[in-house]
Amino acid sequence: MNKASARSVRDGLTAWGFSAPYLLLLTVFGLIPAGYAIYESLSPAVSYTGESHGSVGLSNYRTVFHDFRFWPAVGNVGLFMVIWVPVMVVGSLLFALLLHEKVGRFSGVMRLIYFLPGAVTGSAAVLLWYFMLDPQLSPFRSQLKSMGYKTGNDVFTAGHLAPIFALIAFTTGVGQWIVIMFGALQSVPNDVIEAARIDGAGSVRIALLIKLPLVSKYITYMIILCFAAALQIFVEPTLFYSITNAGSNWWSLNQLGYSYAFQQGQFGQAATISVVLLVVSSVAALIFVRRSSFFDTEVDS
Amino acid sequence: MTLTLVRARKWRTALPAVLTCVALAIAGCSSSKKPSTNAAPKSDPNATMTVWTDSTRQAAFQAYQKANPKTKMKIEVIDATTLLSKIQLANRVGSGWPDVVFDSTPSDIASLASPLFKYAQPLNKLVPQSVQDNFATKNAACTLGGQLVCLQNDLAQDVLWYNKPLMAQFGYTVPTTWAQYQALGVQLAKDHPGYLIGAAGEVNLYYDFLWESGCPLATVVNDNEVKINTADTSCTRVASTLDPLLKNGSVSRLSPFDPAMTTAAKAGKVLMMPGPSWFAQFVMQPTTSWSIPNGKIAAAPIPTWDGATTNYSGAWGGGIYVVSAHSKNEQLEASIAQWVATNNAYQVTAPTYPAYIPAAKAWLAALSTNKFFAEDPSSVLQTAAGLINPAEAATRYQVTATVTSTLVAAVKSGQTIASALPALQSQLSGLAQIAGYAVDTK
Repeated sequence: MNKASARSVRDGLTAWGFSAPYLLLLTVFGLIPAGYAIYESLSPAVSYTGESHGSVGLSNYRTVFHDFRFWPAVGNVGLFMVIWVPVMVVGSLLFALLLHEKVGRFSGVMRLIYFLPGAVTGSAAVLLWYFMLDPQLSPFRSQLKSMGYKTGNDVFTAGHLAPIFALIAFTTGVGQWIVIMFGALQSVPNDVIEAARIDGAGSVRIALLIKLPLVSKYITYMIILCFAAALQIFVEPTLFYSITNAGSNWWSLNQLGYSYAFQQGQFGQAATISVVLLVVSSVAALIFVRRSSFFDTEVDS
Repeated sequence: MTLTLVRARKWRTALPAVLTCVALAIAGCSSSKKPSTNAAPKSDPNATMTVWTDSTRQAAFQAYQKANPKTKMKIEVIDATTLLSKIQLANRVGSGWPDVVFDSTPSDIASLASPLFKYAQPLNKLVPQSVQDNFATKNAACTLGGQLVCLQNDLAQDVLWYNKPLMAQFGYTVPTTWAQYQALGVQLAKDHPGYLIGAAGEVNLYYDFLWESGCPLATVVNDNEVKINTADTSCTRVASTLDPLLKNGSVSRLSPFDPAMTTAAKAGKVLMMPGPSWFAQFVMQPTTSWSIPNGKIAAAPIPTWDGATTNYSGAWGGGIYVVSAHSKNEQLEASIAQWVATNNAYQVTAPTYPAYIPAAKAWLAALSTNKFFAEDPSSVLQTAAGLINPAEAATRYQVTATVTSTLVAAVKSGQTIASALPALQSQLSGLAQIAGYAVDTK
C-alpha cells in the first residue's frame, strides 16, 4: 500500500467517525420510523368490526385522498405556509441586518429582547395570543373595537385562522432565527464590507449585494426548516379549536393524522399522512438544495 | 471540475438533507400488530387495579380505597382528551390497560366497545340486575347492541334555567312549548333589547337543542348502520325556531363560555337559558364565571315541540365508568365501578347529578337547601333525568366536531343554522362512513 492510499483510507475513517453519531441517530429516529410509516401506510386497514379489509397496497392512500377533510386541510396548511414562510424569512433577515448594521451594546440587548418571545412555548404562546386578540380581554381592546371587532366571534373566524397562526408562529420563532442570521452575518469578512463602502455603497446596497449573497446558504437552510415546520402545524390549530371553537379537529394535516390514529384507531391512515408530509417536505428540500449552492464547498469550485 | 460532476455531487450531498427531512416529518409510530388476548385467570385477588380518572372523580376512587383498604389500587389522573389515544397505545404494545376508567366523553364508549379497540368489558353478568334497574336512564347511554358496556356516573339532562324575579318584573310566563319560547324571544327583543333567552355559539346547539328535538345525527340502527338526516323536521324546526332569535339578538351567537357572554351575564342580561343539570352551579353561580347572585335562578321543564307529547331532554355531558376486558380480576373491577357509580356516601358529595336513582335522591336532598336557587329545582331535574331523548346514541364518530365546524361556525359568523344543515349532512355522513357505518339518510 503506498503512502497516498493509506492516507486516503485514514481520511475515510476519520470522515466516517465524525458522521457515525449522526448516522446512528438518523437511522434510529429517522430512517426506521420512516420505513415503518411507509410499511404501515401500505398495510390493509382494520375496520371497526375487527376484520382487515382491502389488501396490501394503496387502499389507505385512497381512503385519505377521498376523505372530505384531506383537501381542505391541504388548503389550510398551504395558506398558512404562503403567509408565514416569506414573512418569517424576510422578517428575521431584516431584523438581523438591522442589528448587524451597528454592532454594539444596544444591538446585543436588542438581540436578547428579540429572542425572549421564543422562550414562550408554543402552547403558552397560543393562550397569550388568545388573550391579546379577544376583544373582551385584550389590553388592546379599544383598538380592536375601533376596528369593528366586538367579540371573539368577530376575531376568531375561519378566514382569520391562517394569519393568526402565522402571527403566533412568527412571534415565537423569529427570535432564534434573528440570532442565527446575526451569527451568519458575523462571518461576512469585514474587509469585504470596507471595500464596498470605499467603493461608495450605502448600507442598503451592502446589505442586498454583499451580506445577503454571502449568507445565502443559511437562508436556504432556514427556508427548508421553516417549510418542514409549517407543514407540521398542530399545536396552534388544536388549542385554538378547543378554546374558541374556530376551525376544526382537522384544520391541519397533522391534526387529521392525529384523528386517524387516536380517535379512529386507523394507524395505517395516520401513517399515510406522515408519508405524504415526508414526500412533500423532501421534494421541497431537494428543490431548494438544487436551486441554491447549498452543498458547494471551496473544493468543488 | 466539470459542471456535470458538480451537479452529481450536489445530488449526492443533498441526500443527508433529505434524510433530515425524513426525521423531521415523521412522527413516531410504534410497532406490534395485535394486542395479545389475555389468557391469565380473571379473578386474581392480589391483582392491582389500575384506575384512570379525571381529577374531579379522583375523590370517588379514593373513597373506595378507604372503604376497601385490602384492594390494591393504583389511581392515576389522566387528561380525558387523551383516553382513546392511551388505550390505542396499550393495544399496540399489548399491555398497560387500566382496569377501571372514568370517561367524561360518554360517546367514547362506542369506540371502546368496538372490535377495533376491544377494551370495554360487558357488565350484564358482573353487575347485579337490581342495581342495573336503578339507573334513571337504565344505563341507556351504556347499552350497545343489548349489552351493558359501562355504568353512567352522572346525567346532564336539560332543563330551562331562568331568572325568576326578572321574568316576574318583565311580566312574562315561562314557555311550555318551543313556539312560546320563540314568541317570548321576539317580544323580549322588542321590549328589552340586549336581554338573552339562550346562546348557540357552542356545541350546546347540539346537546341542548338538536338532541332534545331528536334530530337524527347519531341515531344508531345497529353496530354498522346509523341514521343521519339533517333535512328531517326534527332538525329544521330547531333552525326555524332559533334563526329568527339569533337575528333579533335574543339568542346570543356567542358561546356561554365566551368572555363577552360572561360580561352580559354579570350585567344581569340572561333571562333564560336551556342548559344541562350542571349548568347552574358550574356556569351561572361561580364568581369566576357568570356570578349570578343567590335567589334568582329557577328551573322549568324543557318546552315541548308542537305536535309532540313528550318534552325530551338532551344531554350535554354525563360521565361513564368503563372496565377493562383485559383485567386480571373482572369481578373486582366491576365492583369498583359499581361502588363509585352507586355509593351514596360519595355520590352525595359529587358535583354533578348522579345517574343512580337512590344516589340522586340523596343528592337532590342536599341541593334543595342550596340558597343559589330561587326555588328548589329538584323535581324538574328528576323528571328530566328520565327523559333524555333516546334518538341519539354513542357513535364511533364525533357529532360535536362536525356540528362545531358547520352549524356553530355559521352561528358565530352571522349566518343561519338552516344554511349550514346541508354541510353538516355531508360532513357527518363522511365521518360516519369512515368510521365504518352505512348511512341511512331517510
